[in-house]
Amino acid sequence: MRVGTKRMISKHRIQSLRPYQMVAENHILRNFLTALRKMLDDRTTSFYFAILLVIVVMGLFGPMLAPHDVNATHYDDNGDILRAEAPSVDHPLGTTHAGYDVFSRILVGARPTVLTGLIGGGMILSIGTAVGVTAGYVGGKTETVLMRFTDFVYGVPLIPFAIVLITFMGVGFLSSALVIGLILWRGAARVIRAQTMQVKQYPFVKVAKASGASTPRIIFKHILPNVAPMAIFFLAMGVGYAIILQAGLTFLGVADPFVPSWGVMIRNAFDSGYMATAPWWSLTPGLLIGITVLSTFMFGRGYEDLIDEDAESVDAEAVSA
Amino acid sequence: MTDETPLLEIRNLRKYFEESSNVLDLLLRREPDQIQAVDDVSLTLNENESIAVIGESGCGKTTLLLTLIGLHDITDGEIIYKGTPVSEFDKADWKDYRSNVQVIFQDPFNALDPKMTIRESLEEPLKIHGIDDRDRRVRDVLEHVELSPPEKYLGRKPVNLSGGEKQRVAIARALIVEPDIILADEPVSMLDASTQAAVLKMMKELIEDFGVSMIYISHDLSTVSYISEHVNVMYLGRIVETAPTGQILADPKHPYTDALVSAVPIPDPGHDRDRTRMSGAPRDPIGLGDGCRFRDRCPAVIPPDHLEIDQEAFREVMEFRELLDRDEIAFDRVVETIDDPDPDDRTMARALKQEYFRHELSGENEATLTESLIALANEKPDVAARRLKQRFESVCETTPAYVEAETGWNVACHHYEESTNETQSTPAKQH
Repeated sequence: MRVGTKRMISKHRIQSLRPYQMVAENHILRNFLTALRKMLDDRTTSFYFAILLVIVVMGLFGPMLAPHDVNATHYDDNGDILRAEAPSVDHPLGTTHAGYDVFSRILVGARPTVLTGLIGGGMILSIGTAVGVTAGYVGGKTETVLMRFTDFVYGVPLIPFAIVLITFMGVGFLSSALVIGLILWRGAARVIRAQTMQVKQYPFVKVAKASGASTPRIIFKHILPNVAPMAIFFLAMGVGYAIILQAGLTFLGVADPFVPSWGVMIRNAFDSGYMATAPWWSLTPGLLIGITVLSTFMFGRGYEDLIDEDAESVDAEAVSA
Repeated sequence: MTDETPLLEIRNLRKYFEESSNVLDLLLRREPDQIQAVDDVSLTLNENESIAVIGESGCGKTTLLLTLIGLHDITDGEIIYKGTPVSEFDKADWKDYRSNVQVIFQDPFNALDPKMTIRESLEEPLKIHGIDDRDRRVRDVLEHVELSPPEKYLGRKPVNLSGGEKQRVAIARALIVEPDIILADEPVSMLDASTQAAVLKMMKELIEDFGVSMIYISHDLSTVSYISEHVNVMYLGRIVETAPTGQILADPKHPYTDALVSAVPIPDPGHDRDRTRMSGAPRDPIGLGDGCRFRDRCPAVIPPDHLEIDQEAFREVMEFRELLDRDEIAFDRVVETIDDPDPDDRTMARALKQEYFRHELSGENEATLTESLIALANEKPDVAARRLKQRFESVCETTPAYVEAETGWNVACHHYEESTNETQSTPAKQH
């Protein structure tokens, strides 16, 4: 690298890496894992993370673990239906008024609940980040249009909108989750736009631009990794909100009553009039929803510890400011 | 490349920003005020040359730099790289320019992406320009910036580096594509003094080794002599003096340069010298009219020929006129110095005088001043401004030409415009 050395430019040789190496070298994955490790250093965060893991496992394997068929009516020795029976050895969480096993329904109902969270949270994350980063980085008219649209979405009342939309899309489990995602991205979009604007004016972005980096390159290599912690935070929050809202929508009757999610169980208990007399039927799914949502929120709060750890990072200023 | 074509030539470069206008301005068709960040700057950078641009914060240095790397549009004028004006660049030219003109920013703490390792930061420009043999280049350049062994640094993130180390990595990133030109914006001002010297020395060696030209931008004259052979002094968007470094330090011609040079500390407690003192801070470069931009702070501002006035006293008058012009007289503060809750014009005028004038005027001068202060106290600032202008208008209110005082030494000051300074007693009309 002395004076006058000729530059060797070759388009052919790309560093050959094996697929698993490429995955391991991927900086987004690496940053994510480092951040997760840091967050799990905190005992509270790792406690809630463990709960979340259990719930995800329930979502994955619940139907297989369920001891009974969810729609099987159970009878006692006399051949009578076990109507709203208190917990016993056979039915650890009791039965419903139709003689269904509550424990099995809880296990099976975990999957739609987890799915709702992931679909809702995933949509909040992806739409919010896409809108926020585009508006923040591109600026100008694009920003005005996107952000005024976000403001407009802020003005949409969620529950009435969901009822109207579901009327059009048909009552269904998936549509109720989609509706949630279609509305709740608005908060994420605003905050991520603000973060993007902040990251954008840092010298390292200017240097990248000055040395010829394309806009997609800057967005994917510099902007996204730096707003990623905030985006993950919104994912965690989004999962929680989506589950709560879906339970709410189900309770109002604008979701498929035949997919036995936890929300549907509470509604069925309410409809049957056994809410007070068979608390095991309504209280268990209610508590589980509460615990799930609490865990996502608390896990999201672990993000703050991450910020303190990484005091010099870009986000630290954004959060403390 | 022939010897006649300079590497980079800047001709009468202007970069104006518009003050943000709101809907009302738009409806009333008000012309937004122009912020004249860079105004009529010309520079020439030859191969293997290192020049400096010096000036206070807010004088437009950084805007100049951002304009040079194409992050700002040019308002007027031309940047010519190896004979091709930037305005005629096509895509390939831009790519070439971007790999050959690299930049080092002031703030090492945010110059590197906190989410990337040092290796990734250094590889990025190579990837953008499709340069191969990355691993060797990264190691090489790290050794050049005295970060060795490179293995120790490659996997680290910026959080785990000190300020000096970060700036070294930033320098390495600029050097790794072997550019022709490096633009350095106060590269050491945020480092502590001992690190500053080491980094500067290293930069000097590197630009010689690599055969790079450099534009070094700084507010600190004391660091310039390490790096640059030529100095351009900038004040509020204009270049006021250009000269070889040694000469300008020894014998600054422009009063502003003089003030800057005398502000360079001399580490000798016994040393005593005359300091040229500047008063106040530079004004905002918004809607600047004609005239020397330093006139309100200039210790050598030129009084009209017919006037018998002390230099210091005249300077105060000029400063006051400037404040009046900008509507920045602090009436509230002045009122507080008066006991009388409802002062008459004379009391107010006296208080104003006490606040803004430390030197006694005499005769006609005194009479004019008092008269206009009373007008001002009477809430007639226009009358006051006109009265003061009639008597105290200076030649410095016309824009000085950029003249060659000695070979290779250009100054924009009426003191060095022999013809105009001595004979022209009626200054041109103000805009």
